[in-house]
Amino acid sequence: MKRSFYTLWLPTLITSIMIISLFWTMQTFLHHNLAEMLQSHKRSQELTAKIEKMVSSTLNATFLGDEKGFLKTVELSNQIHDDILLIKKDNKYNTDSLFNSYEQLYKKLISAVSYTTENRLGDARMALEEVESYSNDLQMQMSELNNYFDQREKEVEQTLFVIMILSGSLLLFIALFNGFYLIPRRVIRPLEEFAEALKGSEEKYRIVADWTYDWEYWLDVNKNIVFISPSVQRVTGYTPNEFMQNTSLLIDIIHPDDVSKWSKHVSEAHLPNRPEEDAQEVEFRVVRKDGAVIFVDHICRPVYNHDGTYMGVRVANRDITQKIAILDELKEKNRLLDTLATTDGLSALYNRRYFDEALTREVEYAKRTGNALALVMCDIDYFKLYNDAYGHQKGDKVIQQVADVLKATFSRTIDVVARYGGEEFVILLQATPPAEAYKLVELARENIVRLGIEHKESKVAPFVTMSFGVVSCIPDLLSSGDRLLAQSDKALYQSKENGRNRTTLLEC
Amino acid sequence: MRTIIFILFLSIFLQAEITSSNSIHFSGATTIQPIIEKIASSYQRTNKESLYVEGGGTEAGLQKIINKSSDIAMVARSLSEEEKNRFAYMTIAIDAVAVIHHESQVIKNLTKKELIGFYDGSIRECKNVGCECLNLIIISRKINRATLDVFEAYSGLKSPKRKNLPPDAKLIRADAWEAESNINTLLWVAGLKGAIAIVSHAEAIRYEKMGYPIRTSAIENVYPSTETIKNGTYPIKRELNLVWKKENLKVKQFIGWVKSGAMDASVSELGFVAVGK
Repeated sequence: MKRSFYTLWLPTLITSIMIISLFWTMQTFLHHNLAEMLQSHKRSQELTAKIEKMVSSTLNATFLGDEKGFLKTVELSNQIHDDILLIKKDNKYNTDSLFNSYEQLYKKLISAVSYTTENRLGDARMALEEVESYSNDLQMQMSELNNYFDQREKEVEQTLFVIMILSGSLLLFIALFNGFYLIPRRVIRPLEEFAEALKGSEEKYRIVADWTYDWEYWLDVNKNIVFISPSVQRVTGYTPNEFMQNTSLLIDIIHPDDVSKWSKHVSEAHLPNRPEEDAQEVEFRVVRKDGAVIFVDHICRPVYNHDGTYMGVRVANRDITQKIAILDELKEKNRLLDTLATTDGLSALYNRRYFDEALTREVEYAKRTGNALALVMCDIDYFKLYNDAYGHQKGDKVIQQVADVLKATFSRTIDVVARYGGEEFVILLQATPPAEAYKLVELARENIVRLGIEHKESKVAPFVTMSFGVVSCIPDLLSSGDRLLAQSDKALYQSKENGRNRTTLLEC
Repeated sequence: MRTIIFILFLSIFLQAEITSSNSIHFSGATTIQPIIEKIASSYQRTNKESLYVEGGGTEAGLQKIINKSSDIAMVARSLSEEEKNRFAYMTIAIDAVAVIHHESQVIKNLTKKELIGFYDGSIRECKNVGCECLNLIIISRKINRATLDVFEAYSGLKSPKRKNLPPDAKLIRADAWEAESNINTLLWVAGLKGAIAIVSHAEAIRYEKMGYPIRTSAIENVYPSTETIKNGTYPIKRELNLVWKKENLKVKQFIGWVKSGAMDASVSELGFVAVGK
């Protein structure tokens, strides 16, 4: 359009204005000329009458012997003089001969007056004859002058007509040239090409939009749907037409529990004056037409046209139901992996790796808080003999039963009960002073005894027993997990030395 | 036009018929003619004698008293010694020869040189008189007119119509219009914007007062007036004389009446400078 303005419309406009201006100037000039000529023509027509009037008034004054009567003569003569002068100036008509004739007429007329006043009647008669002669001469010249004006007027009118025809033809030619050549060539064809290109481009974009896998749509400034991709049907079960006919369906299908989350998002994100690149994201659930609930990841951002006018919100909704399910599964697996990594498979207690980390962490914690920390180390008395006598499977069963007792006895969530290796167990008790620790350990030992698991090969009792070494203190700067372990191991050793199935408490 | 001219012919015929031969017949300078015409009726009433006046110019007037077709010649110039010896005469007034022009011109004052320039043709353009006109028309007088004699005496120019002119004579331009009478001169000037003429000052004043579009120029910064004519500062002036044949006794009563000073008032009223008894 801009190109056609400079190559077509502007030159056409300028040419037309120039032609019209030229025509206007010429016709104004000619009209002015014609007006002047008509005025001169009128003057020349009046001139004859004025001359007759002048002669008449002169003779009348002469007849009456009225000196003042010649004032009329003089006045008319001056008018005739001026009229001839104007005709000469206006039309460049050579009035010399006309004026000379008039001068001679006036000269002789006044001479006749003079002769009459001097009673020179013969001279007066002769002068009057000459007046008549000049009068006839003037009549002829006036007639010529009038013919000249008639002719000139016709010429001017003809010129005006020719100019009008020429200008009209030129304008018609420009109109036809534009209509049949320039406009089709420079406007219609480019427009058709542009329309073709636009159509192709539109189709391309429509294909891109329509084939979008995600459910996409565009809300205008009044929240009306401008575009919604066909994939909405795949995601929600509703057709694009259903949304176009009922815009509120966009909200109606949101899961009731997520409506408030959606409203909050809309109030923050679906606003003008936000940067175009500022995409906002929210997840919510949608109740499909078939009643199934799916998860949707909603990403939106404002759109602006080339001049910065806000055009609404562009949205892409992705069905992430499957992704959510996979993530849940993955989380479960991770959780399991964590458990496996920190749990002993036989006893279902924490394994030694977990215990070591917990010991280091709790020692440091106790140092910071100044709480007492108790570490218990224990093992099943003569467990090797049990395995030999009852088999490993029975041995494993004993371990599980012992583990259950320990777990039940040290049931605080902050207590860490771990299988340290073989038939050895360790227990970490936070904020537990020595006496209380001893009491709890004794309770555990008694609970083991109370299980009454047969152990004929034991040298302590005919049932399964356990020996415990307890160390409890407030760790100081020099305390460490290894040192506590070494102390508890020393206490366990003493319990074994002293006959097993007993508890030994040592200070740190 | 033809009808109108016929009426004029008729009027001239009628005027000719009403002239009477039982009267004192004046002829000559049209400058003096208004004076005689002015006093004619009062004179006729008191003296039972009618006065008949015609123009024709100074020379024609003199010729007419010689051939007895007129009783008194009106001579608008000084008489030569020969004329003074040959005729009886009486100076009745002093008049100036005024240079007049159409009122549309801007001439206020002319030097003698400029005046001569207009009349010898060295100045010819309308722009020289400051008006829009078709032709600059110089109006001189016929050679039998005393005004021309006076003007020639002042300017040193001569009418080309004069006979026996010396070869080195400076001439009035050949295409100058030659007016007969004063009214002739005055109406030409009044009716044609480019006209300049010489005419009786008293007549010019009289016509100007009647509203005719004519104006008088100063010559060398002096306007003609009773005072400037009397004191001689206005340069172009002449005597107005009545001249008659010494043996013509018919005019005795009239001359006596004039000499009594009965005409002086009329002379002054008409703008001439009366010379008194």
